Amino acid sequence: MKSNQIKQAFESVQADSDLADRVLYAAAGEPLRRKGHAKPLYVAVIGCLAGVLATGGVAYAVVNSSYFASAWGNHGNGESVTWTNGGSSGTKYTYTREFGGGIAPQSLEGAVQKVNLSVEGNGYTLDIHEMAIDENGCGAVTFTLSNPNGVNYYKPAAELGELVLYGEEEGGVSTPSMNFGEEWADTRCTIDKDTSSDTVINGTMYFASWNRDRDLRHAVTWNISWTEGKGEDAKVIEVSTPEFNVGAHVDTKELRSDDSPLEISPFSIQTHIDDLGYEAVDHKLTVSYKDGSEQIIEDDDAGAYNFYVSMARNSGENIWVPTKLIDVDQVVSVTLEGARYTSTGETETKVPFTIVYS
Amino acid sequence: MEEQAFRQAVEDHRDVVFRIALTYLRDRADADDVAQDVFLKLLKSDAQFENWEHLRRWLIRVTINECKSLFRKPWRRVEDIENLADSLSTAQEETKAVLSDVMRLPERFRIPIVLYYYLGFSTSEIAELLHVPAATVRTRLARGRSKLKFILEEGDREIQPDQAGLRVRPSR
Repeated sequence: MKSNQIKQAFESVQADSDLADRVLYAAAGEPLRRKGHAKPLYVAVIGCLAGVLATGGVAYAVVNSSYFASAWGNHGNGESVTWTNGGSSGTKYTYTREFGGGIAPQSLEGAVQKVNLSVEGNGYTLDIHEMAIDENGCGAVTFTLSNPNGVNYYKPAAELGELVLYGEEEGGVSTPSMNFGEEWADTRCTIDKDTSSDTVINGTMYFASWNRDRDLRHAVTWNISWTEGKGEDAKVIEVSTPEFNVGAHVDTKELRSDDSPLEISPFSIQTHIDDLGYEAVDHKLTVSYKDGSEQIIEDDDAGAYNFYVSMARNSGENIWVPTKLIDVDQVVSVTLEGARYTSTGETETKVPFTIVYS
Repeated sequence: MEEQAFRQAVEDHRDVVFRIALTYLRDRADADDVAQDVFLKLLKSDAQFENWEHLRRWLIRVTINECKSLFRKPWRRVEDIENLADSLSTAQEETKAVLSDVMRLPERFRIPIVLYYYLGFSTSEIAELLHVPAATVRTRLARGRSKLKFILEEGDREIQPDQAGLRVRPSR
């Protein structure tokens, strides 16, 4: 394949010609004519449905901590958020995200590290409060982002609990980010609806390192960035907190299926892409507990997305950071379901798989 | 933004916005929704654009943010890739096959490949757009290219070995 074939292929794809009219109608107050099903935007519906996928009757000895209440609670969303998508003539799809109760098992006592670092820029102040991190390189950190002139964030995303900011807008900064040394972490930020205002955002940043062997040796910084100048002179300015030297990492526990390991902690689950086959695509991830209850992390068919971070590392690992803490001591098994897609010439074969790690 | 200028902006950039969204989402309807949201954001924006290229880059950045910003599964279903190519393009079968091959790549390879080979961004520019290190972009380009089994010919864009400098996942 020649690289110019890619250009040619993409240039053969055209957007709908009525796009401008649709947007202008929407701006004039007409409902947006949505066609897709993947994105919870203006049609988002916030719900407070009764939780059905909780960690069941697991008897926690609990850690009483404002960190866990903030980072692993519901962020003011109730037990869950629900959103629907679907065009006016298309099928409606419903998605849910369930949240935890912010209660941690006793094993996490001492896991929270006070950070207390700040950085300022473009009128904003980012205060980093507390964090916890595991041996998978995953965890969560609480923060406050403030600006006396107002924090410019994306309201439709915030309706579903996510904090998204745009650094290229005048007076704005990008969504806060995190580094291990010089390397970016994969992050996602939530907003605590109950305690935030137009000028002060309290939130949590969930993170996963791109390479735990490399990154866990480095100090951590948090960043905000914005754009100065216009056109060809536009520059992205980034400022960072002082370095934070991470203390203890929360232990992970290894579960196995044949020769393939899985590392689980209260904050994350890590599988290995290479072991699954390079073309494997996951559809469902379930944690099973001793008392018979289940914690659904992800279920495509049911539209259950009970995670903050789901990503694939270059080093061949799949990571999930769930919305609810996992009580590792009570876990019996983790089940991963999906399909492998293999191509032989023009033929593609789909082979479902179910892997039970115990 | 005035209506006439807005219509011109949509006319000039809708395909690029749609193609980037499509690259992320692999679903025509979803990509159409994102394109709609991006241009609605443009319409409501008070940003001042120095020139055509500045606007184009603003739209590309917003499109990427739109695609990345919402809770969304990073690996999407790939069952309908063949049908997707058929539904998107009236081009020749060979061109559709290229589209299918690119779309079948995992997201972490697919996006840099399209930004690099279709839009012509440098690895540094892609790194800034995607908020990943430039070295990671080069890794993903190298691996994505390997997956696509490129036969690079003179005149094609090529990542120099010392620029990539990274191991390539063996094909399975």
